Amino acid sequence: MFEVPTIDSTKRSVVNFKKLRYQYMNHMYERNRYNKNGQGLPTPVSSENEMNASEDEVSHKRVRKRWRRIVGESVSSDEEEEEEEEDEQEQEGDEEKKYFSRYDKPEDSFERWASNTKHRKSINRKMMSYKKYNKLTKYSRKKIQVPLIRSNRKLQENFLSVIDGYELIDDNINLKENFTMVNVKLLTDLMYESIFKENWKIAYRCFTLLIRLPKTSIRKIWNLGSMIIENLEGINKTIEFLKLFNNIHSRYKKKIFNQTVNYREAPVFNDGSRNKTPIYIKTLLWKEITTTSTSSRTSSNYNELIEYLSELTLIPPFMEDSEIWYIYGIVHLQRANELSMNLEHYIDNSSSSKDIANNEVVQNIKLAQKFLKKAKELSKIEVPERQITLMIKNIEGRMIH
Amino acid sequence: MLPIRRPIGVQLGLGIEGPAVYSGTNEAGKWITGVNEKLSERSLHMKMISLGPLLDKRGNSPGIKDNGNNSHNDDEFVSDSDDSDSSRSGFEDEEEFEHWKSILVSKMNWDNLSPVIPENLQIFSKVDMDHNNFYDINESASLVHRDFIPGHVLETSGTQNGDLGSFLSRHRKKISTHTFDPTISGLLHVIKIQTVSDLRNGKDPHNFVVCVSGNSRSRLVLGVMDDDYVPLSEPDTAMETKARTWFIKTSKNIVNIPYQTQIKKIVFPKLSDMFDRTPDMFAVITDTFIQIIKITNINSTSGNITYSLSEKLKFNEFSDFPFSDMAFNPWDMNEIAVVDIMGNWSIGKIKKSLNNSWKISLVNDMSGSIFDEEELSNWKKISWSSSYTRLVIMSRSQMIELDFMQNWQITIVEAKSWSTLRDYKRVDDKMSVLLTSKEIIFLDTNSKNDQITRKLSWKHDISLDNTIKFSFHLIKGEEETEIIIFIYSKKHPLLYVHVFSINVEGLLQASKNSRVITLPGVSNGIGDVTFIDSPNLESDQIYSTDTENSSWNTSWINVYVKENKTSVVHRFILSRSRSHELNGNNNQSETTKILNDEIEGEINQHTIPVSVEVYLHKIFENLFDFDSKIDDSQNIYDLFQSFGYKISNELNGFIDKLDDRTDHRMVRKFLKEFGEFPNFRENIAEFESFIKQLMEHYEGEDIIFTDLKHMYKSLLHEDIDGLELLFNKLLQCWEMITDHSEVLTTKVIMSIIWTIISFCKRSHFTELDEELTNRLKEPYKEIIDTWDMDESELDEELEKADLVNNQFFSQPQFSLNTETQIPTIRSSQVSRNVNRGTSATTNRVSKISRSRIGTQNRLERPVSSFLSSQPSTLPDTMTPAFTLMQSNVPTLSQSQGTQLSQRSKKKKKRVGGFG
Repeated sequence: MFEVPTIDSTKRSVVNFKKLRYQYMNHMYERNRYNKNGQGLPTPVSSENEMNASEDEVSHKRVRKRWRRIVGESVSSDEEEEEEEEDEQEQEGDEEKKYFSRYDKPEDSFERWASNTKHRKSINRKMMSYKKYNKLTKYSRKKIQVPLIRSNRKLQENFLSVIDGYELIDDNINLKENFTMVNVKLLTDLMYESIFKENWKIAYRCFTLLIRLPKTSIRKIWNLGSMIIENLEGINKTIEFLKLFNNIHSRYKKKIFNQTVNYREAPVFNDGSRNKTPIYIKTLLWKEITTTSTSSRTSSNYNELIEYLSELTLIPPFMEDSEIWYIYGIVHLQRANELSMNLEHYIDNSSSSKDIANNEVVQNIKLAQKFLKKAKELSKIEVPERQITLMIKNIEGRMIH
Repeated sequence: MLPIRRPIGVQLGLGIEGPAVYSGTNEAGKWITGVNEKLSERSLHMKMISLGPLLDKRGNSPGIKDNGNNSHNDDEFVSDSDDSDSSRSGFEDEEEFEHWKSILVSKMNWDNLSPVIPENLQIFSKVDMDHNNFYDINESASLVHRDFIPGHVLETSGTQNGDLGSFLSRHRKKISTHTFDPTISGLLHVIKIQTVSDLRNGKDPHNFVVCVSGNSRSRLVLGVMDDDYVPLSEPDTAMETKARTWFIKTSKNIVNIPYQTQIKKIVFPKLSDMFDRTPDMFAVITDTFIQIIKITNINSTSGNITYSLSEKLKFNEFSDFPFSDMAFNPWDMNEIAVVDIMGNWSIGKIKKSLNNSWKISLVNDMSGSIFDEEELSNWKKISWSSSYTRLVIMSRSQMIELDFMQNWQITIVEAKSWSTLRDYKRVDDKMSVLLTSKEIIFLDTNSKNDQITRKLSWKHDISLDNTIKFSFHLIKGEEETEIIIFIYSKKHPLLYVHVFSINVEGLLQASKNSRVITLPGVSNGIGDVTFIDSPNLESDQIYSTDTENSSWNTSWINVYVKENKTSVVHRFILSRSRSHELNGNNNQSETTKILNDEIEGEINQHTIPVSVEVYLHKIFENLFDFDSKIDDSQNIYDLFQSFGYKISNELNGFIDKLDDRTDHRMVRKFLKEFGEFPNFRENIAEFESFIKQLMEHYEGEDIIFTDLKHMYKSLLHEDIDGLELLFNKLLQCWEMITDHSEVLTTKVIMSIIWTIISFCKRSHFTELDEELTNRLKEPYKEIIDTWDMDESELDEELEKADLVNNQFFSQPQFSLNTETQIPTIRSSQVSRNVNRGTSATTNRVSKISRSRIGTQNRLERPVSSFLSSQPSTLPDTMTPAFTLMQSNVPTLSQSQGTQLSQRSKKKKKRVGGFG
């Protein structure tokens, strides 16, 4: 029932099916474009839509080019790039690549979500009629025939019903059924079941067994591991675990999310890149900030955290993730709040120490404001400003004058 | 409230922390995170308590007896086999069958002309004719899946190469269980219905069940449900609570509406909260049309339902494709939106038509298409979005929001890479939920925002399953509303449950942990899950006897589940308390109880772990009881002696009687029947010698016993000499498991051996042998006769047989040779012509059409005919009789050779072109 944490566990037949499907979809796309270009005069509406689309495409290309430069592939001219892309398309078996050359693979979510209202287009009023559709599919069906007769009978049947609009039930029995896979499957289900029933000991046992099995990847279940350890050993152990995990998988900063690579797994929860902080780091940070109570956190502990955050954000390659900046800001805010709570101890003290304490609070507030502003500038985050300003007011009220 | 990263929102999952806000004011809740800790605790002990089926597979309520017998429907397929057993299955016994048969025969004017009038003949004043939906004529839509073709036709044609046979076999395989129609969903709804008159009179809405029944899913069942209280007990606290539940009381409350086509979907309007009323109509989508059904009246005393049907909106009035989904405008029930399987959508209005009926008329200029040529699935969904003029339309890979007044559309979600959209439901005016193959996503559809945004997601980790759907249930509290999401699949009877909460300020939080609940008694997958919508918690709480603890823990939810593939609707209560149990002495209907028992029995069978250890322990316990009864004072040899004496006494008596008997069933007897072996705490050697002595003694009396050596072999699969060895081997295995292995092994072996040994009289055996052989027919007898023959005898026999065979075969062989000489030449010429003809056509065909299978078939044919013609041509050594032949034969082979090479070349070329 649950996803298994293995890499490369799909059956050959499933891969073949996927390939066929991509091929078919590519043919459909080509035919549709051909039909569109060949027929119909440009209307103001359609040309406007097309303009938007082409603009999009151009900007995508530009971004991709930039990324390649970052990787180090010297791309001297546009021509070269065009050539390269065409080469890719001609290669056999790259139907998937061909398909994804039209679409962006999202990095921080499983789907691409519309970010603003600029991409609004006028409503597509052209209805799809049977005649048009038939014309379209006839071409693609013809094209797919040769690869189809070369595949086995079951695949043929499944494919034919899929292009008729049905869906496969057994699509997910795509796991190889060897001994290890059966083992992994059972262990995974058992682990989830024990987590849901809060049988942490059994869950831990499953987890430890799972990560020792060949071909499994701890990347896919790090979250479960941290959850199990937190319930079994406490939050400190979890943070230790996440730190360890983070140290092992720290190469993300050098990585670039390459659109032309056919990744098997979505990087959403498993991986990061220069533009995307991996979720395990975020989880680590949030766990460290939210769960350790103020009393237990010493100032050295706190400094360590600040140091780590500054390392993330201020040392090249600079983190451009707004959430990290937000965390950075909110840590300072928290610090300011805690320091301001302690201010009352200084009331009887000499003015200089009072000033130092006061200054420390002010400094933290300033830093917090700065970083939160930075986070907002990156404009990807919606900060609950009302609460933060309220908070700052509170802190300022506590200050001694 | 929470900081939200655009456009992703908060991403959560098991063990994943999301963004938080620091509100360092109070010590307890310094941080507001995306996780609500309390929710997880509350739902820890979620449990489903089965209340039996609401509707059985015929679409009747099982508690009702008065319409049980005389209802037929299309569930029962008419069998075409002429097996006499099945044909008389409708009759209670042979006699009745004969009786009816004679009546039938008489009617057919055969021999027996005077009908036999039964003694107990009763004449009824009025006869209700059964209406069997199976025989209804499908007016417009043909049910491809259910075409009736007699079984013998399928069987015979499958083996032939006729067109029909191959078509059927192909067709049958295609519609196998590998695929399903994604447009079929939502076949069960339990919803509150308030008719117009009820609304005027201020009556409460009725709980209404609407579901689809029948094997071809063509019958719509409507039922009004009445409430009832089911006692739930808590063994821990000895408390009893009464849970309110709903079920169908009488058959009058059920209405069947037969459709002549498969029902694909039932759609209910979900009115905006500001109306504070429940709808009185719903829509039915079939392959060919949409029809809206309006409940005009529900008689509160009798429960009779009256309804009116709209005119059908046929699919060809809109586009060329069948409808996939429709939606009601939550702010105006008379406005609908439809979408077909290609993504063409339109707005429609419900209007009064001329001849006093009403219909859906589509608004011409408010339509469009979200057709995506790369989208293969027929699944489309349409729903109203944040405001009156905005719609959300989605396919598996796209979600598009559009405003049909302001004329814009935008792709909100593009799921082309790692996930697909599986299901979408509107929660209320401000919120909706999207289920993808990876996450549960809460969408903000607040009209204040300019567009739909993603708020919070939960990674559900369910492995790729194309059949998952979800249902949600709201539990409204004072502070916060709980949203329980149930994900279910057609593949297994498990519910994945995750709880979310939204408080008055709009802070959406997720529970820390998910749950998986098993549905007892559901063996197939789950088709649909629905709930009784209880407006607030209190209504369910009134009858709770414990008032102090009336918190979340003692609440329950009425759940109705439609099983996949069948029409059975199950009734459940979802309890949050670990200890809630159905109270035994309640006033449930009998069937429910029986069903529950069955379910439990089933579960027990499957869940009790069958391990050797447990069994051994049980055996030992039993033995120990016996052991304690034995007094050791008596000498062991005396015991043996006395037992041996007893046994031989009985045996002697029996053997004396044996001779008189001719009954063959008595031939073989087990020793066990003459007395159980007493419980001696004795060793194996002693036992073995006892048995040996017994056998030796009776050997003289012409009695044969079971050969123990054979038995050892069948037990251990190796040859061993005595019991001692068997004992040692077994001891080796069991020593690891239990401490009392020695005693245990001794006892087990003794009892096994004692029960196995049987005996018979040799003379009886030979008698039986003879009799049986005499009964055999000739060919079998021969085989039996040759059984005991020596090899030399056998050889002789075989030689004889060979001689006969040779004589038999040699004659035709000779004639064959002589006859074929001239025809061979003729036939080869003919075959050449044929070959040329076919090859020409294949060339043409391969050039013109690149049809896949057809071409291949044609390609194969010449090759096979070539091969088959080869043996019939003249052998090389034989000189041809005519000179004319000499020139012909080589050209034939040449031409064939070139044809072959050409063909292979072409094939290669085409493969390369497409690869």
